[in-house]
Amino acid sequence: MKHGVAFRKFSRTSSHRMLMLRNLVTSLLQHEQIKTTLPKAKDTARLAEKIITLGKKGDLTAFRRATGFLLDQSLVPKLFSELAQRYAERPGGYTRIHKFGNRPGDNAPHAILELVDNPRDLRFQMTARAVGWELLGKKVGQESLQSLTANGISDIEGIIEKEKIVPPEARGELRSVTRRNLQKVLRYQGSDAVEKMSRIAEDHVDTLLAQPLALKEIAAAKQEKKNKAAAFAGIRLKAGQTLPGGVRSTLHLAQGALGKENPGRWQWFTRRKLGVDKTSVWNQL
Amino acid sequence: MAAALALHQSRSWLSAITTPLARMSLAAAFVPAFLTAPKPFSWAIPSLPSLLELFPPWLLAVPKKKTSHSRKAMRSANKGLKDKQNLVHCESCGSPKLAHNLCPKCYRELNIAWKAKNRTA
Repeated sequence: MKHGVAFRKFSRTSSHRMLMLRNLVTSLLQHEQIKTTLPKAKDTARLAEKIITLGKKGDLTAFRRATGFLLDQSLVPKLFSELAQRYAERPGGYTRIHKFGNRPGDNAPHAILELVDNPRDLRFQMTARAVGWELLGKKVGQESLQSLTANGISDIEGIIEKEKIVPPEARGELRSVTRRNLQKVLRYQGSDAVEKMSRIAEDHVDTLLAQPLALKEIAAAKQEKKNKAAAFAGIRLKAGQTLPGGVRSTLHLAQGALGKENPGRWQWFTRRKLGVDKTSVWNQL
Repeated sequence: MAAALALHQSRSWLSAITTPLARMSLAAAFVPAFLTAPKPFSWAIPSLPSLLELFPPWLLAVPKKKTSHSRKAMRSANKGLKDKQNLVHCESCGSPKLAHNLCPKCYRELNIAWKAKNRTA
């Protein structure tokens, strides 16, 4: 039985274990995003947050304790100035763990451990891209793809500013999950974060619009060379892949031709807030 | 010395009783070798030849017939790979991914972009 035991042993002696965790925390404070196994990430996160609390305290005792713990003395100034300022308002929770599948060699569950609000914050990037995807999905049915490619989506920054205030469960431009992530990610950041997010979203919208065009050009070039009659008109999707405005779930797509046209429990498979499935619109480029 | 001799005797005795005629005559007169000659006590696990002496050859378990193709196939019916149900769309690229995990495609793009930016800077 292991009821209520707080710490993991990692099949190492106590000195080895402590040194390994100190190494991981030092690497995390140096690179701000590391990849390791999930249990190691969970224990490292716990220790790293305590070290950042020492940085926030800022007095001599804290300085001595942090210097004794970290294995790279050049990180101590960073801890007491940059990281302390970054997390001045935030009450705890300075790290984030993203699960990342299993390692090929030994099938160990992997995770990405990162400091929140770091320059390459993964959640920030993914939320910004999700905003771009959803807004594009909404516009795809309303405007033609040519006009969208020419003009893009206007005033993403304004939409983000509005969505910051809307309560999570209410109706808005975005899905409630995306809105919740957006609010969490922008909570302790300034106005330049909104601008950064809108830039990432716009770039992502451009990428999404450019892909089918590029594929079509490649297909057309191949056609000219081979002089064959029937060309594949639409976009060739990978297995399980969907397009902005798509509504079928991954599992429903995986069934393919064997799946039902309208599955019995329709409301659990479709995202009705986004409306009708618009995958066919993308074939009309 | 006596133990070694007893072991040698048992080995030659064992090879003798493998002949079919000898097996018949053995039913009543079977005595394991380690009971005839007393051995000094040791913590070592008795070696395989001495353990096998407890079970004469006709008492060891053995398959009666070759397992048929159909029976073998039935036994491995539920050993196949199980389908994964926890698949969802990535919210940024639309490709399938494991639920509650990062999208590997998106992470790779972001990683490459970051490293390229840092290399030029």
